[in-house]
Amino acid sequence: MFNSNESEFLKFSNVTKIFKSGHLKTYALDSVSFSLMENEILSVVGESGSGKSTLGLIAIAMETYNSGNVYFEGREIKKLKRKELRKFREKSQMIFQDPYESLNPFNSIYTSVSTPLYGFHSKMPYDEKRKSVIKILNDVGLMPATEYIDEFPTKLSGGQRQRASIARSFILNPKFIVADEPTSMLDASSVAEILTLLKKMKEQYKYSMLYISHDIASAHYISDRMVVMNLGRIIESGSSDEIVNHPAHPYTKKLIDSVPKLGEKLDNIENVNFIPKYINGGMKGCTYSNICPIARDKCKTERPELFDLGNNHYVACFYPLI
Amino acid sequence: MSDILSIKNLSVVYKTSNRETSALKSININFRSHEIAAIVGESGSGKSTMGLAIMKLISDPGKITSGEVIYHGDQDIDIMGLDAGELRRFRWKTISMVFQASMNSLNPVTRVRDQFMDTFAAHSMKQDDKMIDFLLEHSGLSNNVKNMYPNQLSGGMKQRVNIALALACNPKILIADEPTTALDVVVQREILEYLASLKNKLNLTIIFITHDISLASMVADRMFIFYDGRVIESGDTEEIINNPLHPYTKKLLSLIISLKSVNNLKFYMPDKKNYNKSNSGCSYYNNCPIRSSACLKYDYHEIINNNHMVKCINVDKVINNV
Repeated sequence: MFNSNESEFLKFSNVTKIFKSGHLKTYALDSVSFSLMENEILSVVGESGSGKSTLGLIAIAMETYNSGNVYFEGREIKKLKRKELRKFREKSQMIFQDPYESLNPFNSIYTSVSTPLYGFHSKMPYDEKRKSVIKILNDVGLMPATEYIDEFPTKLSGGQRQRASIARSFILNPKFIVADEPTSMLDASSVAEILTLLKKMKEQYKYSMLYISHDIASAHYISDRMVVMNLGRIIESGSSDEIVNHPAHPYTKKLIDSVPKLGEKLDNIENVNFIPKYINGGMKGCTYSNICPIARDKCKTERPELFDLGNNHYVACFYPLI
Repeated sequence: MSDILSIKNLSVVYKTSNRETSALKSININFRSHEIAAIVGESGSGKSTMGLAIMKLISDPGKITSGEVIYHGDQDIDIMGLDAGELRRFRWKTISMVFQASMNSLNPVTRVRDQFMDTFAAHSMKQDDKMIDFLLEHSGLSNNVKNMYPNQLSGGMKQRVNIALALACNPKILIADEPTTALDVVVQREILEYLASLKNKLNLTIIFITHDISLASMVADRMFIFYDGRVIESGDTEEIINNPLHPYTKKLLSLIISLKSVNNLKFYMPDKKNYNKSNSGCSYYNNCPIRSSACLKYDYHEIINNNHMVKCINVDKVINNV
């Protein structure tokens, strides 16, 4: 998994990102290594505070990092020249979390969706721009596009706004997409809409995507491979089916058990206790050791490294569940 | 179980200069004491409006146009008929609320302790540190939390503080409006377990407003499905999830993303937001797969058995298809 490979599209190698506030250091990423293949959807799963959004921002060169290297199509992102960086920006796009905030309420859908065209193809005539906006709106399911193109976001529902926002991300025909919790602000029924849409778009547009989410069920639905993060470290990675059906890390198991299930009764309501879990990462032992049900002394003093369980399933745990 | 709160023919209208939107269309609900009732619906269905209307908190441009909300305490009180002073004594002591996005509603510049003291002062209670300790302990937080500022707390802890604040005056009814929407799955489960435990510990009636039907099914005794300002189906949780009758409820249930549903989710076009605007007939007409011309004629509802109510004229068709 960490060997260089020709179809490797994006590669993180030992990337560390530290946020400093006074003398307090927070390890948002703690030597993170993984790679994203061409035409692959890789999801990054973890709780809030696990560093998954920081990882997305670094991948798209909107955030710097302290040490390690990030390679995009074999070249180091940090060393890209101004023109190359502009090329990179054209090829890579982001889908944001909250469509109520990511679309300017004063701009019509045409203005919002066509903005990237004005930035990168400023010489394209207006008619052509309009045509490509209509085409992309049809592709994302805002049909008929002529009815939506001159509307303002206030007239659209949450799911429709997110579709418009996805249309803006796809108008330059990008090769790389970072989707940072694209469904967490939406209604349960719109979530299914957006996930099926992203999956359908992949057949048409052939892109690679980092799908960032705290919901392991939606990640399982959309992605081929998954990495699970806890406090800045990758603690498990492998194919989505493998991880969901045979989680090896106790934390992954907890994430899976937390997914709401229809008609399931809550069992643990008599002794609800506060679990102190706010730690800044960068600790000696396993990041999960202070709340892990199966932790032993070794977990607190020694850092577990990722090792192969077979089938490309990697886990960072001394006492894996399988 | 006796009824604790009855909503009768309640209608709410939002009026702007050029148009009128009815958010609630003459709804009737009886809440029983010591139950968890879930209000399920998409955004815009009127579920939050109902929560606010129960507290008589609807403010301009909204207006309660008809109906009454009766609290069955020692004597029956019509909340809509209370004046400002009476409301002030009534709110929080009898019915309290955890508002939507309330993680961000704590005052960022005062300590948690002072926010409790403010609440006690506003409702002329004894300002007592012991009471704060008691409330925090009940919500599973250590009592150091009272000396902290909100920015030192995680999202889940803030939500617990909010629920503890809502319980400060020992209310009989708690309205929780999307209490877990901005939280990740692990914390979401903690908050759900906590809410469910309150029902038994404090003999509380909880009105749980959510868009996620699988979450609702985990905690609720009864469910009310909202669509376009009407209750279109209601009944015991088990009855609704095992035997849904309204086509909209069926759709909601089919869109749940769980770890098992991965392969049977289909690409799905968004519902049109154009509800049937006429005052009679079914709002779901424009999107309904089994509509017939009779649907538009009059408002129809049928009680299938004691607890199961459905508003669908073609309910026989649904039953026979299954």
